[in-house]
Amino acid sequence: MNARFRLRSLLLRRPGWQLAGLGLMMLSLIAGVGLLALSGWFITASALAGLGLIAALDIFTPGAGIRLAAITRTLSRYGERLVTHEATFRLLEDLRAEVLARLLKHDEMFLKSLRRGDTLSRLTADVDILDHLYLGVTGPTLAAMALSLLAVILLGLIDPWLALLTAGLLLIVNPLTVGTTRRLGRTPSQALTQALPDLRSLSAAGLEGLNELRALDRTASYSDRVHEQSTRVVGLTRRLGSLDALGQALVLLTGLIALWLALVLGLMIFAENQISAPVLGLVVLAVLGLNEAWLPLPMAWRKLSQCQSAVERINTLSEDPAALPQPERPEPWPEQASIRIDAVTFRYQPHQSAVLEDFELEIKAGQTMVVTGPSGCGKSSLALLIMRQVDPQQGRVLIGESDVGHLDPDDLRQRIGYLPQNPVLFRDTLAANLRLADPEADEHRLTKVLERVGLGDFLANLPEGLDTWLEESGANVSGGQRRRIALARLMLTDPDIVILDEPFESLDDDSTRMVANALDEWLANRTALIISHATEVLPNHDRVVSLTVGPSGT
Amino acid sequence: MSQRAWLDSQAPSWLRPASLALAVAEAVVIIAQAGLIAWCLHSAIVLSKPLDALWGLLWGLLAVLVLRAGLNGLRGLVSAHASAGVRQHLRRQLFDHLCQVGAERLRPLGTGELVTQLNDHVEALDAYYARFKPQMASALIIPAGIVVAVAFQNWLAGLLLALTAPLIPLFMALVGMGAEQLSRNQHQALARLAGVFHDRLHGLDTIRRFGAETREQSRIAEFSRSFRQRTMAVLRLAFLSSAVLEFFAAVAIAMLAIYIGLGLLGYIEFGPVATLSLGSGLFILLLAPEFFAPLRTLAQHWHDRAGALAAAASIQPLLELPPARRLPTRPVELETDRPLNVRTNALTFAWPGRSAVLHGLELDIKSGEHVLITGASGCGKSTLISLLAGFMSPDQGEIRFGSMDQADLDAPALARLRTWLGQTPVLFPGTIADNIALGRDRTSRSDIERVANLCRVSEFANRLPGGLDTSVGQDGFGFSGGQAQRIALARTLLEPRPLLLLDEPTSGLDADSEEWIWKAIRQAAERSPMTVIAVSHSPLARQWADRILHMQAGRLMEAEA
Repeated sequence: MNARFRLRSLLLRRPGWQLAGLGLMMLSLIAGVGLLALSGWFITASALAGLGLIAALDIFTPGAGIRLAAITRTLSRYGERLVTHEATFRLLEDLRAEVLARLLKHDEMFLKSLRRGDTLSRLTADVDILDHLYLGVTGPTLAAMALSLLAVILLGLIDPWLALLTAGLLLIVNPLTVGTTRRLGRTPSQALTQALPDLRSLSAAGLEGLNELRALDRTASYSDRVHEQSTRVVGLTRRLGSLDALGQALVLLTGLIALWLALVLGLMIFAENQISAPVLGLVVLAVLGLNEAWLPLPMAWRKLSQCQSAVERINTLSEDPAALPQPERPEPWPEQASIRIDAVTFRYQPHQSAVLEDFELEIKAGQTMVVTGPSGCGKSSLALLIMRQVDPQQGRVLIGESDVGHLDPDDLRQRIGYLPQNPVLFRDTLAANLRLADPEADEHRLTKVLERVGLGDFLANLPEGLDTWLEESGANVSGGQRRRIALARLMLTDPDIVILDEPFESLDDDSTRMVANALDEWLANRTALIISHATEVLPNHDRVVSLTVGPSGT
Repeated sequence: MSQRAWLDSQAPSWLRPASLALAVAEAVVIIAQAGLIAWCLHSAIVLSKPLDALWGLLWGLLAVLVLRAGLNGLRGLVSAHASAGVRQHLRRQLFDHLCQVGAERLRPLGTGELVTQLNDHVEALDAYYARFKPQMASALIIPAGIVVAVAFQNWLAGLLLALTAPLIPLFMALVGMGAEQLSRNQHQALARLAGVFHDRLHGLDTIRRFGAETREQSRIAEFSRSFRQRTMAVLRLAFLSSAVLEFFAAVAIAMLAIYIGLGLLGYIEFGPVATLSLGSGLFILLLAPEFFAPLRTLAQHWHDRAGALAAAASIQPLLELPPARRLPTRPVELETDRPLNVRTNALTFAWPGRSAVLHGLELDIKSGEHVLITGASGCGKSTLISLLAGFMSPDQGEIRFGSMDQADLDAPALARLRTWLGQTPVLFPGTIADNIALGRDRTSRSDIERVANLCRVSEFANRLPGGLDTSVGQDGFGFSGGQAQRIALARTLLEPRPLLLLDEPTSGLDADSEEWIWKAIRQAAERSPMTVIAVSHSPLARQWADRILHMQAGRLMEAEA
């Protein structure tokens, strides 16, 4: 199932579009060479005819050919760019869907760990970088190879030696140059993938801790440290830039040498009367035109290592991580969804102190319990333990009579409704965000549920109503509105157990009361755990447990 | 200064003349190449010279060709060198400037954004100096040189190319507009799409929780599709501009070929056809594609320019931010390193665009006193600490340490006089010990160990495999807030100073860490006497303080201890 992405397999997608793009790329290259070659032939022939050295010349066919080549060149270039871009966009489209599908197979702790640092932004960028693969590398390379091969065959019809030397220079020396540039670029490229993030984190720490540095007058020495790392990064990019320049110069030199040899060889066989003068003109100008296709390739291939590391990073992320052990034969979901936490000790990291130590808690089926306490006392860990996002180091967590470790993970996900402390809303319409929970819900139901959490007025004031687009993680709605939208979304589901992490944070008193009332109704007959640091307004509840910070120091 | 002018002012002064000189050399070589090839063919075909008579020309041509490739490579190396210098210099200048602007004024800009500007945006300038600028020189010089050379041979052909010359600025504008719009639109579409995708990745657990895996996958596909359709609609137009350039290039070659051919055949009478020969005809034909090549390359690099302009637009304003503290014109020497009394006189400070948070604040703290300042959040307590620490200059009023005016002290003097501990500890890349020493030279290992014991850093560090030499943030050794703050405290107390300023040192910490931090501060003050001014909400701080001041409406009042 977990077939790794391969650069090669990526390139076999959307073959129709890719082939069409390739065809147009070749056509435009051929038209370019053809235009020059034909012009060379025509001028030479005209000069000879003008001097009376050859018989009358048909000027209409070559004239029409030249005009055709010029028009074909323009049109195929335009078409090529459209088609290759279309192909690339389609490729990226597939890739995004596949990355998403692969990542969705992971457990939630892993998904959460993705949010740390810049992993997600990098993953997003990694997918986008792959557009270079087809647009910059495979398409142009295949086109250059095919054009050169075609040229070699056609030159072979004129003279085998001419074909041999062109083949040697264009199809052997050029690929060697391109390959060498790529190989030489690999080390600095790899070093750069390490050095640039290091520079980022170094400068980030410096800017975050600016007052620390200023207080001790260490800004100058820290700036030296940043500068040193910057020098490393810039040095690497400079090496890559120089490599590109040399690669391009070498390909140019190869093409020019091919031109020179074609000229010398052409003159020789012309002297032996094996070819006519117009053909000599054609050969020289055709070989001159061939170079265009090869010039961008050294840099394009050098950049390929970026694509490769992008693919590698995507692969590492979509491999199976060390997940919590899953039950082989899961127990059925208990009829009575009570919760018992039995002598649990839990710490996030082995070297950190325990968040919960020998902790006991019981919630009977259908009851609502409120857990309060200062931050850092282990409230949120409780939620993670019940949902089995983490396993305790000691003790058991039971739902009904079953250890959560023996229950089906799908059951755990679907039967437990969870409002996290920072709920995620997507860049999408309000309706689409709500329908995440229930795709069948009609507008009436969506409006209803928003009204229940006190967002009736908010909705009424939106010009586009349910079709309003929510920006970046809900940036165009306030924190309180965002939590309530997430709560409304949760209330569209029908779970047995509900865990609400700080449902009233950043709500004003009126909204808090309204939400509390709505929850009273919805939570009836469900087992609920409400985590809250405030206790002033709460929905109906059976018990309040106050967690204190243990002597272990958490 | 416009962004373009600013970008150009960053380049080393030799880059422009060097690019122009290289472009001139390239133009000469290109013209020589065309001339030699044309002359060889003319000699062999029209003058029927034997091959042996041509070797001189052919070797000359080979030398010219090698020179051309060499010049091309040299240009790349020179511009890579120039670009490296610009980026290195600019990054250092920017970082140093941000240090001067100070944490308080940078915070609203967001560290993440600043880090992107400092690193990625500065790197984005590479293509501008390494590719766009040199190509700009080539696009100016080479076509001009070619027109002159062609006109010498045949004024009509020269005129034909020259006629396109006034069109070149038009081309460039067209290409520029098209390419700029293209890259802007493509950028925007990609950024939006990346945003939507990033969002889904961010909420993968939410998607799973609602069992919406397939639905969201098709939703992403739907977005990709509609973005693709919209982008392609723009691209269809944008690509037209480069198609225009392509069209002119192809048509000019075709027209010249046909004109020369018909002229040689004698079908055309007007103009300087009489002087046309195979040699001059081929010369002109060989130069025609070279005339357009630099322009086409320039068009390809146009998005580098757009990228650099965008980066410049984000970097330039940062360099114009004012520094937070005015440097003393005549710094004074420190008079003492014993605890000092701290007084302020009519201290007034307002954040830009807001009403004054401190007005006429008077503070009088005796040397060696431990004073706690309390007050509602946002009342200006932290601002006061930052002003006392010399992180910012007050709008009005003065701060006196003993008999010295704080404004007369330079950064090294301030650092010997006061030290500071803030609310969120920042650990720098390096080991725990590095973080405590923070690059100060005269620190012995035993000093570090002593202060690590005092601040109870050793307690958790000893449990780590590397002890105090464990790297921060690597191998999964993330530290809890309390642990990080203990390291930060050890850093602050490593070298005792006469004045210690504390800005909410225990907020958000567990009770255990909180207790230990206040204890360590008391112990440090017992060992080496110091004036301590703290801002805190902690009940433990009330027990610790000699005197408590309450801040309200920008003023201080004595409160019950």
